[in-house]
Amino acid sequence: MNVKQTLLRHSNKAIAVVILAILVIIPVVMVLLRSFMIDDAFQLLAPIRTIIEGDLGEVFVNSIRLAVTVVLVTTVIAAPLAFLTGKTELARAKWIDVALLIPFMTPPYIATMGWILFMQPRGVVDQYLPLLGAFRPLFFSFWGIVMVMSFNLFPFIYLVIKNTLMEITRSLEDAGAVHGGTFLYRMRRIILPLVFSGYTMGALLIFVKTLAEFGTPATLGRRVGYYVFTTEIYRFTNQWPIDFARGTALASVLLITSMLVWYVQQLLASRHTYSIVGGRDHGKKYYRLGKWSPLAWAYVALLLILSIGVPYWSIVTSSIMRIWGHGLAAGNFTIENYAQLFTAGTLGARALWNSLRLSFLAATIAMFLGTFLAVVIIRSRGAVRQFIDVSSLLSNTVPRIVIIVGLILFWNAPWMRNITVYNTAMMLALTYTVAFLPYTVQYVKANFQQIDVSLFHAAQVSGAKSGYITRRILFPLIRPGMVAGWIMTFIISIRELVGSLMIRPPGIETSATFIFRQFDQGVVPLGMAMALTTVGLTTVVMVIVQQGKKTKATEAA
Amino acid sequence: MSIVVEGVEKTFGTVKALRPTNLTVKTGEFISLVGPSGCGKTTLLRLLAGLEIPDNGDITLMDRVMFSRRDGKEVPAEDRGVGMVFQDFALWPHMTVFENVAFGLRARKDTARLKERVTWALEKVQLAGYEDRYPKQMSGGQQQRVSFARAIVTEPKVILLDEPLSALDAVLRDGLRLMLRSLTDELGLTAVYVTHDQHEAMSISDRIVVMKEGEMLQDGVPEEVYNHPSHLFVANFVGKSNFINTGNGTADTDGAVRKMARPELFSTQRRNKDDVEFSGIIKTISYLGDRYEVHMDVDGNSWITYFTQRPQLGDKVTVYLSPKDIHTIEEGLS
Repeated sequence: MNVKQTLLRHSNKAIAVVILAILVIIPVVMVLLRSFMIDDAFQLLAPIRTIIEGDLGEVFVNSIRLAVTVVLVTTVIAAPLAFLTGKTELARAKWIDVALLIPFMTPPYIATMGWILFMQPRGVVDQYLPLLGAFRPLFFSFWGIVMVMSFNLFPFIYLVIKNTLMEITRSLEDAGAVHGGTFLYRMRRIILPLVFSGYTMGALLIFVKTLAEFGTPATLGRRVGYYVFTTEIYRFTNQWPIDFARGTALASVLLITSMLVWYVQQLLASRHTYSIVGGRDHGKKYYRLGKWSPLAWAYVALLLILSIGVPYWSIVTSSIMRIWGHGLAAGNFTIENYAQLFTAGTLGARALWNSLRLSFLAATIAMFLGTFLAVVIIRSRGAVRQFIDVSSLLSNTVPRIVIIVGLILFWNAPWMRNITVYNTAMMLALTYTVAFLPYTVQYVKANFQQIDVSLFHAAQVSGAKSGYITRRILFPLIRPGMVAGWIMTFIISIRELVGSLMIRPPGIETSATFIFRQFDQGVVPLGMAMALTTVGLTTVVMVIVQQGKKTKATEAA
Repeated sequence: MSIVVEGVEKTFGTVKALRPTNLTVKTGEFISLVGPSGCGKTTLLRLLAGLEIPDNGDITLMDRVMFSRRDGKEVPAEDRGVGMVFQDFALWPHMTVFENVAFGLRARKDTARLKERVTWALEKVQLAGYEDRYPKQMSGGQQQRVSFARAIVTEPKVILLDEPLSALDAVLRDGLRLMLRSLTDELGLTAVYVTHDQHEAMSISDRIVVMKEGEMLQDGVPEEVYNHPSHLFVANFVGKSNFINTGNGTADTDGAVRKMARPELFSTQRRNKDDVEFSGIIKTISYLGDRYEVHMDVDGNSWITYFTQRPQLGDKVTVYLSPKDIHTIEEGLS
């Protein structure tokens, strides 16, 4: 009698596999094939050969050097802060974590533009802080890229270290003290080993994120002649002379490098993870800062100034200037830039509208598709589940630029000519959907896993058929995950730079490409007005949803 | 007969969760399945509910065949029409109390006099007026009462209870247990109650079934199971036991015949001239308020006896037992 149900379940799995194959797997495989096949023959070392013959070795070295340095610098920045807010009286200042969401949520290309406007000739430094001008040569070099990326990425590793620190219960430390361990001895023998696994996770995440990041290298790196994987892949696939062989070779090496890092991370994580099981927790142990307190606060202030203050100061002031470079003088003030963005028919307004409608479409498709995949994953077992699980999260593991090159190869292939998706605006929506699908899948999956199976059993015993259970029990309970997935996809689609640049058909701009091109062409104020508008818009969406959740919670209480 | 289980068995992977089992429950009877975790009691309950499918055998509820491997019949859980109460309450967090209780009626499209019937069920568990609350706004005991109301609102003939009280604290548990029993009696329900707590089982049931490793060891009224345990395991699991050495070695060594007596049957004074006497050394003394529980060593066995006055630790004392109170366990081959 269960034949129908079994058939239904299997057909769902089959549909999931087919969708993922078309959207993610085949494009990625095409990147690999394209770079490993030379003259229709598979050659194991083909991408490496292409890189060596094409003088691209420097790009590889540059990328790795940048990633390693950023990991080190973010660690040096984040570890003391994590200790301060996790283990000392600064823990009471909860607002620090909230403030650190700002660099976290600022697209790297926008933050980098803020920094460039701050440091470049006739910028903020020249007008108000001429002494800092001495740092200009240092900023417009490798170290500037490292600094901007580090201040953008350090909240990741900060949160990871802090969360592991918080898990260490007071009794573990108290036991160390009772048995004669001094503060430094306890740090070395108890805290650091317990934090280690969390830290390596965070460090490798930063490593991969730096390798895959396009925004900062594209804005600052290209200006100072520091080329990395992402900027070169972009050049070979989008700018004349186009060279797909080199582009895909670089993409393959980037893909393989990131995969290796993930693999190492898995290995390390499984070997060095301790589950910290304790009895009852007698509260957290906080160290008293005493006379060091002002120094600690100065450190927090410095971090906030460098990660939020500097970029936003330049962006905000630039966006209300008539002519950039004349400073904030009377007569140079204007809201004209914003007005232009909201005047129908202007280039800016069209770009903003494109971003909004395409992101809306992508978020909606991703929400339904991601929910479907998450439900199929939870309800299936074995190898098929593994396959669907891994491939639906693939766009989060693989550097985004690799996925995008794959999408170009697949949708622009000669045998796709009859399907006119490529070179239309719809291709952008498709790209956003594929790139950000993992968010919905993860949120809904996490949501689903929290639901005790007895809630479904209770419904079944009460006489509900599977369709009724889905509608009345499953759907309402996973709705928060779906909404979170929708918001996340919507927000990051609006800001997505590399995908928009590479996929957009001629004549179609999005807010991100608009900002990028205005900045490139020196029309700074208009670009910055758009930057602030998108950041503001996405923040408003988030706040509204948070508020909505809160009011619902209070109604229920 | 309300419930008839014949030759039902269930294996999970390589684990025999339930060996071929037979069980009949009369209409209106309240029976408990007791045993340690992994004994198969919950598996049997879930097989009755239709949440698991047996490997073999027949299940009949209220004269309706629910499962039969022979005839290839398998009624899904949603069509069995039983009520069930879960250990973790399993209330749907996004629905009000009213909607939780009304669920079974709506799911079956049986919505005539819906409000009246939900109110009736909530009144039965003394929760009238709580209709608009959400589960998280209620205490554990109230939540469990809602889940009971949900189980009875469709007026089932059979109710299955899976450790319904184990998530609650001791004081609540006693009150709710009495309420459960009086409600099942009032509604004429046939109840199957799963618990690992032997006191709970003995106090609430008409009949108890002691299970171990997927097998039913003993099935009888509580007094029978307590006074005449059929297995060494039952004697130890239900109540406290003092084992008496027979001719062939101490009670700890394996033997086909065991003799035992319950602690409260011993007396510190001789009551009849044919009383048997035992002496032992006092090892520990616990004051229980109304009496002293004394652990003593008798011929190498650890015994529990009760004293009305505090004895001296380490003393050698003599206790007496009437020969008719000695129970012999004939366990067969196990």
